Order: sequence, then structure tokens, then C-alpha cells
Amino acid sequence: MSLLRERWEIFWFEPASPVNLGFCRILFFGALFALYLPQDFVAWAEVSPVFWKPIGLFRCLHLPVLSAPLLAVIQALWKVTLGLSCIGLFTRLGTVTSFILGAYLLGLPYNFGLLSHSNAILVFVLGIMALSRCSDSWSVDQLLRTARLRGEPSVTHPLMSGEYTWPVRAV
Amino acid sequence: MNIRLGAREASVGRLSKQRVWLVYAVVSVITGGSLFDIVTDTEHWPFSQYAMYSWVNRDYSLTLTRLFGVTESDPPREIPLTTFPYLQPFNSYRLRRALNWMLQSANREQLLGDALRDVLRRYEERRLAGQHDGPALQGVKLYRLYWKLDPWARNIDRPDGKNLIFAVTPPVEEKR
Repeated sequence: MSLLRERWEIFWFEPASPVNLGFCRILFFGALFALYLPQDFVAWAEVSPVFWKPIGLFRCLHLPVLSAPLLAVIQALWKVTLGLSCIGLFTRLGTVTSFILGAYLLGLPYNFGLLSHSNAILVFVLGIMALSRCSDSWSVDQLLRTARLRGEPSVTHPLMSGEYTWPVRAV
Repeated sequence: MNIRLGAREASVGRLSKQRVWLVYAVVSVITGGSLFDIVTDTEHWPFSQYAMYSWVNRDYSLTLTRLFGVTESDPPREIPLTTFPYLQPFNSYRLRRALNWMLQSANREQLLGDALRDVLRRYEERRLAGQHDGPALQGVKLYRLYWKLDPWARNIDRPDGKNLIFAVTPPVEEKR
């Protein structure tokens, strides 16, 4: 039993360098930014309410279809946070915001008659990245920290940690 | 990623107990939600049972509903409304599923009337804005199409059955 537990903990929390997770952050948010930059969610605000059939998440949280101007603001904000998360600037704020807004925008079309799983994994990964320490490497935040705390070894050479393993395992 | 612990073993950052439990909670939610949907064969987005093609169609035929636009030309033509620019933000499949749901409702006449008029309104608005090159429409019709399947799909454009379910035309005031 203790061997199983040890292997379980190694699987999730084996100490690793932050480089891999940082690179994954760039790839994931970069791909999302490129894929959704041309996408326009505002048109859903102009669909007749007769099509509105809210899914569980929207029904439980009483989330409505926002007005066209508000949807335009939210989708612009989402795309900006995707870009910021990609380059790793204001990463914590960016990843958390992109998760919350992404869950709303990606789920919105499913309230109009067709439920599908095609982009559900994106919401899961956004949530995992929002909780992770993905800006500790390959990020503008890391460069700024290094410049600000010059010579601090924990900044110039981040500790090996399980914090950089579990997000990759979870995805 | 293989990590060698040796000289740097002393410099390993350890997670707090709260952090570890947070990770387990996240993984449990994702796994548990997915397992629930798989076991109950239901879908609660973003969780899913990933039904994919897990059913067997034993009838060697295909039946589906499809929208047709009635042009203003003389004589009027009926054109299929299946391309994304005509139906945006819906695609053909999503709109068909939405209309099928309405067909099964008790107040289907009201629902279908409102829905088809909305499709026509958005089509015309996008046409006048130059966002697609479809012809002007004077109405929309919803048909149920039926095919006996051909191995080479030679009858793809010639369904074996075509039944009108519902039709709408815009109010006279909108035509002026």
C-alpha cells in the first residue's frame, strides 16, 4: 500500500523544472489565441430567444445571453487575456480571467439546441492552467522578477518542484 | 520528463498540504464529473459521456430535416439553407438539432414560426450587409427529407421523400 501511495505521489508531484510547463503554457494559449482570434461570439446575442435552451451550467448559475455590446467587450477581453497568458505577462490574472470568460464564451453556443463535447477539454485545461504556476519559466513575468530581484537564486534558478509536474499530468 | 535528484535534491520546492489537496480536488472534479456522465449516459457540459457514434442505425436509410429558402424570383425557387454564411452563428447541424427539439414540443407551431422567422430575418440582414451572396428570400420552409442509402451516394441530391413540415413568410410590412 505504501509503495502504491509513493508511486501515486511521484506520478503527480515528482519534482520537475518549470521549463516544460512554461513551454506548454506558450503552446496552449498561443494555439487558443490563434484559433479564436477570428471567432465572433457577438452574433449569439442577436439570435431569437426561441432558440434558448440553457445547459446545466448556465441554468444553475442563471447565466443569460449578454447583450451584443457586452459580449463584444467580454470576447475582446478574453482574447487579450489569452495573448497575455501566452507571453506570460500578468499571468495569474490572465489565466484566471481566461478560464472564467472562456467557460462562458465556449459554453454559450451549446445553449442553442446542440450540446457537444468538442471544446470541453479546453475549459478543463484553462482551469488547470489558472491554478498552476505556469509563469515561473519562459514568461515576461519571470524576466521582470529576475530584473527586480537580481541575484536572488530562487528567482534566477527556480526550485525543482511538483508544482510543475501535476498540471502536465492532469492535462 | 525525467528529473535527476542529486546535487539539487536539497533545493526541491515542496507543496503545502493544502496545495496537494487542491490538486486532488481538481482532478477528482474532472474525473468524477466525467464518470458520472459516462455511467448515466448523460451530458452536463463540460462533462460528457462522449457518445460519439455509440448507437447502431439498423434502418438502411437516412431521415433529416432541412431548411429551404424561397427566392423572390419569378417563378420562385427553393434553395437549401445549409451553408454557414446563410445561418450564422448556427451551422446546419446545430440549427437542425434545435428545430428537431421544437418539433417535439407541445407548442411546436409557435416555436417553429418564431424560429423560422428569425432565420429569415438574420439571413436577410446579413445579405443586405453584404456578408453573403445568397439571393433575396420571400420565405423559409422546413422539410423532412428521406433517403434510401446508396453505397455510392448517387442520390445525395435527390432524396426519395420530401415532406413539408412548416413554412413562414415575413409580414407584408417587412417587404416594403
